[in-house]
Amino acid sequence: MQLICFPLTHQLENRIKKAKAGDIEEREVLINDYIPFIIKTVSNTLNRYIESEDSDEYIIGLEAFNEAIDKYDPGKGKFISFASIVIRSRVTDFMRRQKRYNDELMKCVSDQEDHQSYDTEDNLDLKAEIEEFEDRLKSFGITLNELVRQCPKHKDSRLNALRIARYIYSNGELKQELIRKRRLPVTSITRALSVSEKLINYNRIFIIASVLILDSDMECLKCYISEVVGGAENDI
Amino acid sequence: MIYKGHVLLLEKDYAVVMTDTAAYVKVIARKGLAVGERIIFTDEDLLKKKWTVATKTWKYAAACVLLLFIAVLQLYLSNIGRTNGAIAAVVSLDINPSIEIEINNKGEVINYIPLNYEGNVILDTRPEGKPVSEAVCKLLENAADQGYLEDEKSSVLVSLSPLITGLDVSLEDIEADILSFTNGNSRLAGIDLMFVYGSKAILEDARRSEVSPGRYFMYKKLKESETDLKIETVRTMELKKLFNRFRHGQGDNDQIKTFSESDNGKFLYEAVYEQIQLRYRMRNMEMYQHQIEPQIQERIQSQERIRVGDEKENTENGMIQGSEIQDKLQGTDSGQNSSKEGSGEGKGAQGGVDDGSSQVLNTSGEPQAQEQNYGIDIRNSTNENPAAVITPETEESGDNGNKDEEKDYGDKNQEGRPDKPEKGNKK
Repeated sequence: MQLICFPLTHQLENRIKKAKAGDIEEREVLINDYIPFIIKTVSNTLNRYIESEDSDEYIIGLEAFNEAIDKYDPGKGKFISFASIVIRSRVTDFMRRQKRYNDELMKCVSDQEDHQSYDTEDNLDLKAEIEEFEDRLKSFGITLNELVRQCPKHKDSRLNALRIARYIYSNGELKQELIRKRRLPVTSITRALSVSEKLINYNRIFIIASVLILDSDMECLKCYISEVVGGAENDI
Repeated sequence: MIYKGHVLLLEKDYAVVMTDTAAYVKVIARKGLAVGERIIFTDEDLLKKKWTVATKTWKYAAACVLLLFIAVLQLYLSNIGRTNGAIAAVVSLDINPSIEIEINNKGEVINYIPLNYEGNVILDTRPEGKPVSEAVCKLLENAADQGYLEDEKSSVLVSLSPLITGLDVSLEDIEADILSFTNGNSRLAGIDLMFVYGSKAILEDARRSEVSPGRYFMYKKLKESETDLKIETVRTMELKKLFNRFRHGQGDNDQIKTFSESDNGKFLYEAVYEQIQLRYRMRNMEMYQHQIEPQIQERIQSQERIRVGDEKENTENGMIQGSEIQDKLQGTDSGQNSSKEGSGEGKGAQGGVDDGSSQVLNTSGEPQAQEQNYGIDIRNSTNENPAAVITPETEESGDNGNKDEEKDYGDKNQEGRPDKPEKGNKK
């Protein structure tokens, strides 16, 4: 184990040295490379998930990591352990400071002990829409757990399935047929898109769920679909 | 890796999240999670059976597993024998999924090794004991099912690396079987399938460099002309681009391959024939067999009696340069006269196969006025109609040329030169 660790640690220490010495690019790349570590450490400290890259805790985590780069002394232990301590310390300090403020300030921050700040009208709407989506899936005999199991693992596979879903959604007749008969119009799709029946059947659940999302008001989820399909089209 | 997404379902121990790449995953439930909430999470938060959240050393554990894997592999490679259980060759498959298949002396599968995540995806079942060509064809079908062959002319690279000499199974037979299957399968007939032949050394280097043997083979070949090419570039390059580079990037003089020492003494047509067999892979093996081979045989009936290694009389230094042959390789259908004299490097008659869009191999039978061309024009075709046209060109009267040749190489006639070459034992 030591033989494997040593080269990895040594490489990291060199990078930290460079960053400390003033290499801004190296510092940025280093921070970027360790974003998953930072997110994990902040989440573990808060004992909840971070909401977005704009959240205060995330930014505190980045700043703490940056501080750790400046303060790290190789003679005193591994960098990762040190950085972890610094991040936890800064995030905990931040949480304590936040607790001292009044309710209005706490609404701006997702405090783990106060769900009221989270349940804004938008979130409640989305929650209701998601529950409706779940019900619609059930009418097709599909559960969300099954959707996780059957979801194509590869992004390209999902892209192909999403294209089929988009086609069905944009074609009024096919969409109606799907909703009415509770099954995919396989023959029409294979003819129109020159895809194999096997592919459609393999991704049946994913395609149906995607059509239902496109047919809903859940803008954030629809956005995810457009990003995948749109991103691929931009590449072309 | 980091993920972003919205929570769709919340259970006691986990939540179902739709990610920003339209995937549905389960994450470990944490305090404060609610349906409709947007979250950022990492791989460690994904709910997996053998995963523990607080494991700090998973990276090191993964590294240890990799080391162990390499150690076991080394053990395998060092214990090569002729028993059915011993690994006699490795076949690798690259699409985007990458897989290695270890086979025994008889070409039956011993083990499957996925080389990346996608490789695992198409390895739904892992039947052992199957003939490897059947296994590869099944994997190709799985890949098509999973959408990995949706592109027009998806590139597929198969490498065949023998680890011992004297295999009972013929690697060329394996190639022919796979080609035959794909040509007959409507979903696979459109793929751009390339076969390369590696070796034990290539396999070992490939594994050290953490790429598939097929990609490593291409890296080695490309590096001959692109000396600053890095393995990382080849590791991540899209296969289609790699194919293009491999096929077209070697058109300059230096890439004309000379024959090796082991070819010395062979008749030129034999050596060329072998090079075509080995170095140029046609999709349409059947067409090759029915059209090209008879034409080569026809040429063999003709007067070419040059042997690799022969010097030419009445020439300044006797050798034909690859560069002079390159002059002929201008994509003409009919081939042109090769030059008579060389500028003196290398040994013997030189020729080779250029994997460009139009390939012409020329060699001159006889210098001076009598010129005879041995033109083989094989269009590198992944298009509709692979065209393979043998265009023999005789500049002057063929008979004269022949007589001169016979005069030059009369001595060699007595050395037991075969009247006709043997037909290759290749399919």
